[in-house]
Amino acid sequence: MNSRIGRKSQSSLLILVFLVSIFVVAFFYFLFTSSTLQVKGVKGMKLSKISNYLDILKGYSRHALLLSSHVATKKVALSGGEINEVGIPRNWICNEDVSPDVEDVRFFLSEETLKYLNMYLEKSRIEDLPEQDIQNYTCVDYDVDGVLNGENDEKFNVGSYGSKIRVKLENDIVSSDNNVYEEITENRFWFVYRKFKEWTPEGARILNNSVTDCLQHVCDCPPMSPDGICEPCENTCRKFQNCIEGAIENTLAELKFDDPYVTCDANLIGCYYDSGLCDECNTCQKEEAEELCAKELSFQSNMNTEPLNILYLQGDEICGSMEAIFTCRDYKYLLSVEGERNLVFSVRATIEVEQYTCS
Amino acid sequence: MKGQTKEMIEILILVIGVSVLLVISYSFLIRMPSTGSLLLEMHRYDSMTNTVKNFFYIRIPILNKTYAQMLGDMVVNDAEDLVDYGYGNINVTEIIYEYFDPYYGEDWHFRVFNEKKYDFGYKIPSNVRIRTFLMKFPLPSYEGGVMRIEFKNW
Repeated sequence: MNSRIGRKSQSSLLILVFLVSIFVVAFFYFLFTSSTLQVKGVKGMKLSKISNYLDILKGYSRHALLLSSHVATKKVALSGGEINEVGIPRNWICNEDVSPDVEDVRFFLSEETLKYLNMYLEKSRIEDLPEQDIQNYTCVDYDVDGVLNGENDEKFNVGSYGSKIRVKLENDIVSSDNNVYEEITENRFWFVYRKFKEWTPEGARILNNSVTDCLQHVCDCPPMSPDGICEPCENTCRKFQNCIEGAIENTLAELKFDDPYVTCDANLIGCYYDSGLCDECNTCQKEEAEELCAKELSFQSNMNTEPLNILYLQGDEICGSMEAIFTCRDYKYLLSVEGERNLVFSVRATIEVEQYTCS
Repeated sequence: MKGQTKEMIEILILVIGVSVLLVISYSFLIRMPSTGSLLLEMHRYDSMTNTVKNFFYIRIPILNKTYAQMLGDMVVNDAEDLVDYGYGNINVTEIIYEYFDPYYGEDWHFRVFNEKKYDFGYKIPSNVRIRTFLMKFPLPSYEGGVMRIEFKNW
Protein backbone atom coordinates (compact mmCIF):
# COMPACT_ATOMS: atom_id res chain seq x y z
CA MET A 1 0.00 0.00 0.00
CA ASN A 2 2.82 2.44 1.01
CA SER A 3 4.87 1.62 -2.11
CA ARG A 4 1.79 2.35 -4.31
CA ILE A 5 1.37 5.75 -2.66
CA GLY A 6 5.13 6.40 -3.11
CA ARG A 7 4.95 5.57 -6.86
CA LYS A 8 1.88 7.82 -7.26
CA SER A 9 3.60 10.77 -5.56
CA GLN A 10 6.75 10.20 -7.61
CA SER A 11 4.81 10.30 -10.91
CA SER A 12 2.92 13.47 -9.95
CA LEU A 13 6.23 15.03 -8.96
CA LEU A 14 7.71 14.10 -12.31
CA ILE A 15 4.78 15.72 -14.14
CA LEU A 16 5.24 18.81 -12.02
CA VAL A 17 9.00 18.89 -12.71
CA PHE A 18 8.29 18.44 -16.40
CA LEU A 19 5.83 21.36 -16.45
CA VAL A 20 8.20 23.55 -14.49
CA SER A 21 11.05 22.67 -16.88
CA ILE A 22 8.93 23.69 -19.88
CA PHE A 23 8.06 26.93 -18.13
CA VAL A 24 11.71 27.65 -17.30
CA VAL A 25 12.85 26.90 -20.87
CA ALA A 26 10.08 29.06 -22.29
CA PHE A 27 10.96 31.84 -19.86
CA PHE A 28 14.66 31.84 -20.73
CA TYR A 29 13.83 31.67 -24.44
CA PHE A 30 11.60 34.70 -24.10
CA LEU A 31 14.25 36.48 -22.04
CA PHE A 32 16.94 35.77 -24.64
CA THR A 33 14.91 36.75 -27.71
CA SER A 34 13.60 39.93 -26.18
CA SER A 35 17.05 41.03 -25.06
CA THR A 36 18.42 40.25 -28.53
CA LEU A 37 15.66 42.33 -30.07
CA GLN A 38 16.48 45.17 -27.71
CA VAL A 39 20.17 45.01 -28.56
CA LYS A 40 19.29 45.00 -32.25
CA GLY A 41 16.91 47.91 -31.76
CA VAL A 42 19.45 49.98 -29.85
CA LYS A 43 22.17 49.17 -32.40
CA GLY A 44 19.85 50.17 -35.24
CA MET A 45 19.02 53.42 -33.49
CA LYS A 46 22.70 54.15 -32.96
CA LEU A 47 23.47 53.57 -36.61
CA SER A 48 20.60 55.77 -37.67
CA LYS A 49 21.83 58.42 -35.24
CA ILE A 50 25.37 58.36 -36.62
CA SER A 51 24.06 58.44 -40.17
CA ASN A 52 21.92 61.45 -39.23
CA TYR A 53 24.96 63.19 -37.76
CA LEU A 54 26.92 62.63 -40.95
CA ASP A 55 24.04 64.06 -42.97
CA ILE A 56 23.85 67.08 -40.68
CA LEU A 57 27.56 67.80 -41.07
CA LYS A 58 27.32 67.34 -44.83
CA GLY A 59 24.30 69.64 -44.89
CA TYR A 60 26.29 72.20 -42.89
CA SER A 61 29.16 71.93 -45.41
CA ARG A 62 26.77 72.25 -48.32
CA HIS A 63 25.17 75.35 -46.91
CA ALA A 64 28.61 76.78 -46.11
CA LEU A 65 29.62 76.16 -49.74
CA LEU A 66 26.57 78.04 -50.98
CA LEU A 67 27.27 81.05 -48.75
CA SER A 68 31.01 80.97 -49.54
CA SER A 69 30.21 81.02 -53.22
CA HIS A 70 27.96 84.06 -52.80
CA VAL A 71 30.63 85.91 -50.82
CA ALA A 72 33.37 84.92 -53.28
CA THR A 73 31.42 86.04 -56.35
CA LYS A 74 30.73 89.35 -54.63
CA LYS A 75 34.42 89.91 -53.79
CA VAL A 76 35.85 88.67 -57.09
CA ALA A 77 33.36 90.75 -59.10
CA LEU A 78 34.34 93.87 -57.16
CA SER A 79 38.00 93.19 -58.00
CA GLY A 80 37.35 92.65 -61.69
CA GLY A 81 37.64 88.87 -61.75
CA GLU A 82 40.57 88.37 -59.43
CA ILE A 83 41.61 88.85 -55.84
CA ASN A 84 44.42 91.29 -55.15
CA GLU A 85 45.87 93.06 -52.19
CA VAL A 86 45.82 96.47 -53.84
CA GLY A 87 42.08 96.84 -53.41
CA ILE A 88 41.39 98.23 -56.87
CA PRO A 89 39.89 96.30 -59.77
CA ARG A 90 41.98 94.36 -62.21
CA ASN A 91 42.96 95.92 -65.52
CA TRP A 92 40.89 94.68 -68.45
CA ILE A 93 42.24 97.34 -70.78
CA CYS A 94 45.91 98.31 -70.87
CA ASN A 95 45.94 100.17 -74.18
CA GLU A 96 44.71 96.84 -75.50
CA ASP A 97 42.39 94.07 -74.35
CA VAL A 98 43.99 92.22 -71.41
CA SER A 99 40.76 90.83 -69.97
CA PRO A 100 40.97 87.61 -67.94
CA ASP A 101 39.92 84.33 -69.50
CA VAL A 102 37.22 82.17 -67.96
CA GLU A 103 39.92 79.88 -66.57
CA ASP A 104 41.69 82.78 -64.84
CA VAL A 105 38.48 83.93 -63.17
CA ARG A 106 37.60 80.34 -62.29
CA PHE A 107 40.92 80.04 -60.44
CA PHE A 108 40.43 83.16 -58.32
CA LEU A 109 36.79 82.43 -57.66
CA SER A 110 37.63 78.89 -56.54
CA GLU A 111 40.42 80.03 -54.23
CA GLU A 112 38.29 82.72 -52.66
CA THR A 113 35.39 80.30 -52.15
CA LEU A 114 37.74 77.78 -50.55
CA LYS A 115 39.01 80.42 -48.12
CA TYR A 116 35.51 81.22 -46.84
CA LEU A 117 34.39 77.61 -46.87
CA ASN A 118 37.20 76.52 -44.56
CA MET A 119 36.44 79.45 -42.23
CA TYR A 120 32.93 78.03 -41.84
CA LEU A 121 34.23 74.50 -41.26
CA GLU A 122 36.46 75.69 -38.45
CA LYS A 123 33.35 76.85 -36.61
CA SER A 124 31.30 73.77 -37.33
CA ARG A 125 31.49 72.13 -33.89
CA ILE A 126 27.90 71.15 -33.12
CA GLU A 127 27.11 70.82 -29.42
CA ASP A 128 24.55 68.07 -29.65
CA LEU A 129 26.69 65.80 -31.77
CA PRO A 130 29.13 63.33 -30.24
CA GLU A 131 32.85 63.47 -30.97
CA GLN A 132 33.28 64.85 -34.47
CA ASP A 133 36.12 65.85 -36.74
CA ILE A 134 35.88 67.64 -40.08
CA GLN A 135 38.99 68.14 -42.15
CA ASN A 136 39.38 71.29 -44.21
CA TYR A 137 38.67 71.21 -47.93
CA THR A 138 41.63 71.31 -50.29
CA CYS A 139 39.88 72.24 -53.49
CA VAL A 140 36.84 74.09 -54.80
CA ASP A 141 35.98 73.99 -58.46
CA TYR A 142 33.38 75.74 -60.61
CA ASP A 143 31.75 74.19 -63.63
CA VAL A 144 32.37 76.82 -66.30
CA ASP A 145 31.44 74.95 -69.49
CA GLY A 146 28.42 77.16 -70.10
CA VAL A 147 29.90 80.56 -69.27
CA LEU A 148 30.60 81.91 -72.74
CA ASN A 149 27.44 80.56 -74.33
CA GLY A 150 25.23 82.04 -71.61
CA GLU A 151 24.15 78.78 -69.94
CA ASN A 152 25.68 79.92 -66.66
CA ASP A 153 24.18 83.39 -66.80
CA GLU A 154 21.79 82.79 -63.89
CA LYS A 155 22.96 79.54 -62.32
CA PHE A 156 26.11 77.51 -62.08
CA ASN A 157 27.50 74.53 -60.22
CA VAL A 158 30.27 74.41 -57.68
CA GLY A 159 31.90 71.46 -55.96
CA SER A 160 34.25 71.18 -52.99
CA TYR A 161 36.62 68.31 -52.40
CA GLY A 162 39.26 66.90 -50.09
CA SER A 163 37.44 67.01 -46.76
CA LYS A 164 36.62 64.03 -44.58
CA ILE A 165 34.18 63.71 -41.69
CA ARG A 166 34.59 61.38 -38.73
CA VAL A 167 31.89 60.89 -36.12
CA LYS A 168 32.38 58.82 -32.97
CA LEU A 169 29.46 57.57 -30.89
CA GLU A 170 30.54 55.48 -27.89
CA ASN A 171 32.73 52.81 -29.48
CA ASP A 172 31.43 53.19 -33.02
CA ILE A 173 33.33 55.39 -35.45
CA VAL A 174 32.04 56.29 -38.88
CA SER A 175 34.12 58.13 -41.48
CA SER A 176 32.96 59.55 -44.75
CA ASP A 177 34.09 61.79 -47.58
CA ASN A 178 32.66 65.27 -47.28
CA ASN A 179 32.64 66.15 -50.97
CA VAL A 180 29.69 68.38 -51.69
CA TYR A 181 28.22 69.76 -54.89
CA GLU A 182 25.81 72.63 -55.01
CA GLU A 183 23.87 74.53 -57.61
CA ILE A 184 24.11 78.28 -57.13
CA THR A 185 21.04 80.04 -58.44
CA GLU A 186 19.98 83.66 -58.74
CA ASN A 187 23.55 84.84 -59.03
CA ARG A 188 24.50 86.56 -62.30
CA PHE A 189 28.27 86.71 -61.80
CA TRP A 190 29.05 84.91 -65.06
CA PHE A 191 26.47 86.93 -66.97
CA VAL A 192 28.11 90.22 -66.05
CA TYR A 193 31.56 88.72 -66.70
CA ARG A 194 30.47 87.55 -70.17
CA LYS A 195 29.08 90.96 -71.10
CA PHE A 196 32.25 92.74 -69.97
CA LYS A 197 34.33 90.17 -71.87
CA GLU A 198 32.37 90.81 -75.07
CA TRP A 199 32.73 94.57 -74.66
CA THR A 200 36.47 94.75 -73.90
CA PRO A 201 38.02 94.50 -77.43
CA GLU A 202 35.78 97.24 -78.81
CA GLY A 203 35.98 99.22 -75.56
CA ALA A 204 39.79 99.20 -75.73
CA ARG A 205 39.76 100.36 -79.33
CA ILE A 206 37.34 103.25 -78.71
CA LEU A 207 39.12 104.39 -75.57
CA ASN A 208 42.53 104.25 -77.20
CA ASN A 209 41.50 106.25 -80.24
CA SER A 210 39.60 108.79 -78.17
CA VAL A 211 42.45 109.42 -75.73
CA THR A 212 44.87 109.78 -78.66
CA ASP A 213 42.56 112.41 -80.12
CA CYS A 214 42.41 114.17 -76.76
CA LEU A 215 46.19 114.50 -76.56
CA GLN A 216 46.12 117.63 -78.75
CA HIS A 217 44.54 119.52 -75.82
CA VAL A 218 47.71 119.06 -73.78
CA CYS A 219 49.39 121.55 -76.17
CA ASP A 220 47.09 124.29 -74.84
CA CYS A 221 47.88 123.53 -71.23
CA PRO A 222 50.46 125.43 -69.18
CA PRO A 223 53.89 123.84 -68.89
CA MET A 224 54.42 121.63 -65.92
CA SER A 225 56.40 122.65 -62.87
CA PRO A 226 60.13 121.82 -63.21
CA ASP A 227 59.91 118.75 -61.08
CA GLY A 228 56.44 117.86 -62.23
CA ILE A 229 56.21 114.29 -63.35
CA CYS A 230 52.85 112.91 -64.29
CA GLU A 231 51.08 116.18 -63.66
CA PRO A 232 47.43 115.55 -62.76
CA CYS A 233 45.22 117.31 -65.25
CA GLU A 234 42.32 118.17 -63.00
CA ASN A 235 43.57 121.66 -62.19
CA THR A 236 46.15 122.38 -64.86
CA CYS A 237 44.72 120.85 -68.02
CA ARG A 238 40.96 120.90 -67.71
CA LYS A 239 40.43 120.68 -71.47
CA PHE A 240 42.35 117.43 -71.65
CA GLN A 241 40.40 116.04 -68.72
CA ASN A 242 37.05 117.05 -70.22
CA CYS A 243 38.00 115.38 -73.47
CA ILE A 244 38.98 112.19 -71.64
CA GLU A 245 35.72 112.20 -69.72
CA GLY A 246 33.94 112.37 -73.07
CA ALA A 247 36.03 109.43 -74.29
CA ILE A 248 35.01 107.41 -71.25
CA GLU A 249 31.34 108.20 -71.89
CA ASN A 250 31.72 106.97 -75.48
CA THR A 251 33.35 103.78 -74.31
CA LEU A 252 30.71 103.23 -71.65
CA ALA A 253 27.97 103.64 -74.27
CA GLU A 254 29.41 100.61 -76.01
CA LEU A 255 28.92 98.49 -72.86
CA LYS A 256 25.50 97.08 -73.63
CA PHE A 257 23.76 94.55 -71.42
CA ASP A 258 20.31 94.70 -73.02
CA ASP A 259 18.99 93.98 -69.55
CA PRO A 260 16.73 96.30 -67.53
CA TYR A 261 18.25 95.16 -64.22
CA VAL A 262 21.83 96.22 -64.94
CA THR A 263 23.12 99.76 -64.70
CA CYS A 264 26.67 100.82 -65.47
CA ASP A 265 28.79 103.86 -64.79
CA ALA A 266 32.39 104.88 -65.26
CA ASN A 267 34.69 107.03 -63.18
CA LEU A 268 37.91 108.68 -64.17
CA ILE A 269 40.38 107.94 -61.39
CA GLY A 270 43.58 109.25 -62.99
CA CYS A 271 44.43 111.77 -65.67
CA TYR A 272 48.04 112.81 -66.25
CA TYR A 273 50.19 114.52 -68.82
CA ASP A 274 53.88 114.94 -69.22
CA SER A 275 56.35 116.42 -71.59
CA GLY A 276 58.77 113.99 -73.04
CA LEU A 277 58.48 110.28 -72.62
CA CYS A 278 55.70 108.81 -70.55
CA ASP A 279 56.97 108.18 -67.07
CA GLU A 280 54.83 105.23 -66.14
CA CYS A 281 52.26 107.42 -64.46
CA ASN A 282 49.88 104.53 -64.73
CA THR A 283 50.67 100.89 -64.54
CA CYS A 284 48.86 97.86 -65.65
CA GLN A 285 47.87 95.60 -62.78
CA LYS A 286 46.66 92.05 -62.86
CA GLU A 287 47.20 88.89 -60.86
CA GLU A 288 48.42 85.78 -62.59
CA ALA A 289 46.20 82.76 -62.17
CA GLU A 290 47.78 79.45 -61.32
CA GLU A 291 46.76 75.88 -61.88
CA LEU A 292 43.52 75.11 -60.10
CA CYS A 293 43.73 72.67 -57.17
CA ALA A 294 47.38 71.91 -57.98
CA LYS A 295 48.66 72.68 -54.52
CA GLU A 296 47.55 73.13 -50.96
CA LEU A 297 45.33 76.05 -51.66
CA SER A 298 46.49 78.95 -49.60
CA PHE A 299 46.35 82.21 -51.44
CA GLN A 300 49.69 83.72 -52.32
CA SER A 301 49.83 86.98 -54.15
CA ASN A 302 51.46 86.78 -57.54
CA MET A 303 50.79 90.29 -58.70
CA ASN A 304 51.96 91.34 -62.07
CA THR A 305 52.51 95.08 -62.25
CA GLU A 306 53.99 96.07 -65.54
CA PRO A 307 54.38 99.24 -67.60
CA LEU A 308 51.90 99.62 -70.37
CA ASN A 309 52.62 98.64 -73.87
CA ILE A 310 52.74 102.30 -74.91
CA LEU A 311 51.20 103.30 -78.14
CA TYR A 312 53.90 105.28 -79.97
CA LEU A 313 52.76 107.75 -82.53
CA GLN A 314 54.89 110.07 -84.66
CA GLY A 315 57.11 111.42 -81.92
CA ASP A 316 57.78 111.12 -78.24
CA GLU A 317 57.39 114.62 -76.92
CA ILE A 318 54.02 114.65 -75.16
CA CYS A 319 52.53 112.01 -72.96
CA GLY A 320 48.91 111.68 -71.91
CA SER A 321 47.59 109.07 -69.63
CA MET A 322 44.33 108.14 -67.96
CA GLU A 323 42.73 105.40 -65.95
CA ALA A 324 39.08 104.75 -65.32
CA ILE A 325 36.91 102.21 -63.55
CA PHE A 326 33.84 100.83 -65.28
CA THR A 327 31.27 99.47 -62.83
CA CYS A 328 28.05 97.55 -63.47
CA ARG A 329 25.44 96.70 -60.83
CA ASP A 330 22.95 93.90 -61.16
CA TYR A 331 19.63 94.64 -59.46
CA LYS A 332 17.80 91.53 -60.58
CA TYR A 333 18.77 89.40 -57.59
CA LEU A 334 20.17 90.02 -54.15
CA LEU A 335 22.98 87.80 -52.92
CA SER A 336 23.15 86.01 -49.58
CA VAL A 337 25.94 88.21 -48.22
CA GLU A 338 26.51 90.66 -45.44
CA GLY A 339 26.10 94.38 -46.24
CA GLU A 340 25.28 95.49 -49.77
CA ARG A 341 23.69 92.51 -51.52
CA ASN A 342 23.74 93.57 -55.19
CA LEU A 343 26.38 92.08 -57.43
CA VAL A 344 28.81 94.84 -58.40
CA PHE A 345 31.36 94.10 -61.09
CA SER A 346 34.20 96.58 -61.68
CA VAL A 347 36.99 96.60 -64.24
CA ARG A 348 39.84 99.04 -64.77
CA ALA A 349 41.01 100.59 -68.01
CA THR A 350 44.33 102.34 -68.45
CA ILE A 351 45.47 104.20 -71.55
CA GLU A 352 48.81 105.90 -72.07
CA VAL A 353 49.72 107.51 -75.36
CA GLU A 354 52.60 109.68 -76.68
CA GLN A 355 52.53 112.17 -79.48
CA TYR A 356 54.83 114.47 -81.38
CA THR A 357 55.66 117.98 -80.21
CA CYS A 358 52.96 120.61 -80.33
CA SER A 359 53.24 122.96 -83.28
CA MET B 1 2.79 9.71 6.44
CA LYS B 2 6.50 10.21 5.98
CA GLY B 3 6.10 9.95 2.17
CA GLN B 4 3.24 12.44 2.15
CA THR B 5 5.28 15.00 4.12
CA LYS B 6 8.19 14.56 1.74
CA GLU B 7 5.89 15.07 -1.23
CA MET B 8 4.38 18.16 0.37
CA ILE B 9 7.87 19.63 0.92
CA GLU B 10 8.84 18.91 -2.68
CA ILE B 11 5.65 20.52 -3.99
CA LEU B 12 6.28 23.49 -1.69
CA ILE B 13 9.81 23.89 -3.08
CA LEU B 14 8.45 23.74 -6.60
CA VAL B 15 5.74 26.30 -5.85
CA ILE B 16 8.33 28.62 -4.29
CA GLY B 17 10.61 28.11 -7.31
CA VAL B 18 7.83 28.86 -9.76
CA SER B 19 6.78 31.89 -7.73
CA VAL B 20 10.34 33.24 -7.79
CA LEU B 21 10.40 32.78 -11.57
CA LEU B 22 7.06 34.54 -11.87
CA VAL B 23 8.31 37.45 -9.79
CA ILE B 24 11.42 37.71 -11.98
CA SER B 25 9.28 37.55 -15.12
CA TYR B 26 6.99 40.17 -13.76
CA SER B 27 9.82 42.53 -12.91
CA PHE B 28 11.30 41.91 -16.36
CA LEU B 29 7.98 42.65 -18.00
CA ILE B 30 7.72 45.81 -15.92
CA ARG B 31 11.10 46.90 -17.25
CA MET B 32 10.18 46.17 -20.87
CA PRO B 33 7.97 49.21 -21.44
CA SER B 34 10.70 51.55 -20.13
CA THR B 35 13.13 50.17 -22.73
CA GLY B 36 10.41 50.56 -25.33
CA SER B 37 9.79 54.14 -24.35
CA LEU B 38 13.53 54.77 -24.46
CA LEU B 39 13.62 53.53 -28.03
CA LEU B 40 10.59 55.66 -28.82
CA GLU B 41 12.33 58.64 -27.27
CA MET B 42 15.42 58.00 -29.38
CA HIS B 43 13.23 57.75 -32.44
CA ARG B 44 11.55 61.06 -31.66
CA TYR B 45 14.91 62.72 -31.11
CA ASP B 46 16.14 61.34 -34.45
CA SER B 47 13.09 62.71 -36.17
CA MET B 48 13.90 66.12 -34.64
CA THR B 49 17.46 66.04 -35.97
CA ASN B 50 16.06 65.02 -39.35
CA THR B 51 13.70 67.97 -39.39
CA VAL B 52 16.49 70.40 -38.59
CA LYS B 53 18.85 68.68 -41.04
CA ASN B 54 16.38 69.25 -43.86
CA PHE B 55 16.79 72.98 -43.34
CA PHE B 56 19.99 72.56 -45.33
CA TYR B 57 18.63 70.26 -48.00
CA ILE B 58 15.08 71.20 -48.94
CA ARG B 59 14.75 74.01 -51.43
CA ILE B 60 11.49 75.92 -51.42
CA PRO B 61 9.85 75.58 -54.83
CA ILE B 62 9.89 78.65 -57.08
CA LEU B 63 12.14 80.58 -54.67
CA ASN B 64 14.75 77.82 -55.07
CA LYS B 65 16.32 78.63 -51.72
CA THR B 66 16.90 76.50 -48.66
CA TYR B 67 15.30 77.30 -45.31
CA ALA B 68 18.76 77.80 -43.82
CA GLN B 69 19.64 80.34 -46.52
CA MET B 70 16.48 82.37 -46.00
CA LEU B 71 16.80 82.27 -42.24
CA GLY B 72 20.44 83.40 -42.48
CA ASP B 73 19.50 86.26 -44.81
CA MET B 74 16.82 87.37 -42.39
CA VAL B 75 19.15 87.32 -39.40
CA VAL B 76 22.10 89.01 -41.09
CA ASN B 77 19.89 91.78 -42.43
CA ASP B 78 18.39 92.29 -39.00
CA ALA B 79 14.95 91.89 -40.55
CA GLU B 80 11.87 91.07 -38.51
CA ASP B 81 10.02 88.82 -40.94
CA LEU B 82 10.63 89.92 -44.51
CA VAL B 83 13.67 89.40 -46.69
CA ASP B 84 14.14 91.08 -50.05
CA TYR B 85 15.54 89.01 -52.91
CA GLY B 86 15.32 91.68 -55.60
CA TYR B 87 11.96 90.50 -56.92
CA GLY B 88 9.93 91.16 -53.79
CA ASN B 89 9.84 90.51 -50.08
CA ILE B 90 9.59 86.98 -48.75
CA ASN B 91 8.04 86.37 -45.34
CA VAL B 92 10.55 84.02 -43.75
CA THR B 93 8.70 83.73 -40.43
CA GLU B 94 5.62 82.44 -42.25
CA ILE B 95 7.73 79.95 -44.18
CA ILE B 96 9.26 78.59 -40.96
CA TYR B 97 5.84 78.05 -39.40
CA GLU B 98 4.64 76.35 -42.57
CA TYR B 99 7.61 74.03 -42.35
CA PHE B 100 7.33 72.93 -38.70
CA ASP B 101 3.57 72.95 -38.16
CA PRO B 102 2.77 69.85 -40.25
CA TYR B 103 5.39 67.83 -38.32
CA TYR B 104 4.76 69.01 -34.78
CA GLY B 105 1.48 70.91 -34.67
CA GLU B 106 1.81 73.41 -31.86
CA ASP B 107 4.39 71.38 -29.97
CA TRP B 108 7.58 73.11 -31.11
CA HIS B 109 9.76 76.11 -30.48
CA PHE B 110 12.66 77.29 -32.61
CA ARG B 111 15.10 79.91 -31.39
CA VAL B 112 17.99 81.60 -33.19
CA PHE B 113 20.78 83.20 -31.20
CA ASN B 114 22.80 85.88 -32.89
CA GLU B 115 23.29 89.48 -31.81
CA LYS B 116 19.63 89.33 -30.97
CA LYS B 117 17.28 86.40 -30.40
CA TYR B 118 14.65 85.29 -32.85
CA ASP B 119 11.79 83.14 -31.55
CA PHE B 120 9.46 81.04 -33.65
CA GLY B 121 6.84 78.50 -32.64
CA TYR B 122 4.67 78.13 -29.57
CA LYS B 123 4.84 78.62 -25.81
CA ILE B 124 6.99 76.01 -24.11
CA PRO B 125 4.92 74.16 -21.47
CA SER B 126 6.43 73.59 -18.06
CA ASN B 127 4.94 70.25 -17.08
CA VAL B 128 5.94 67.96 -19.95
CA ARG B 129 9.08 66.28 -21.15
CA ILE B 130 10.90 68.58 -23.61
CA ARG B 131 13.42 67.40 -26.17
CA THR B 132 16.05 69.93 -27.24
CA PHE B 133 18.40 69.90 -30.21
CA LEU B 134 21.22 72.45 -30.45
CA MET B 135 23.06 73.28 -33.64
CA LYS B 136 24.96 75.89 -35.57
CA PHE B 137 24.03 77.32 -38.96
CA PRO B 138 26.47 79.16 -41.23
CA LEU B 139 25.51 82.80 -41.53
CA PRO B 140 26.20 85.08 -44.53
CA SER B 141 29.49 86.60 -43.45
CA TYR B 142 32.98 87.58 -44.56
CA GLU B 143 34.48 85.86 -41.51
CA GLY B 144 32.73 82.50 -41.67
CA GLY B 145 30.20 83.53 -39.03
CA VAL B 146 27.67 81.13 -37.57
CA MET B 147 24.43 81.48 -35.63
CA ARG B 148 23.30 79.09 -32.90
CA ILE B 149 19.90 77.51 -33.08
CA GLU B 150 17.85 75.65 -30.51
CA PHE B 151 14.92 73.47 -31.48
CA LYS B 152 12.50 72.18 -28.83
CA ASN B 153 9.71 69.66 -29.17
CA TRP B 154 7.39 68.20 -26.57
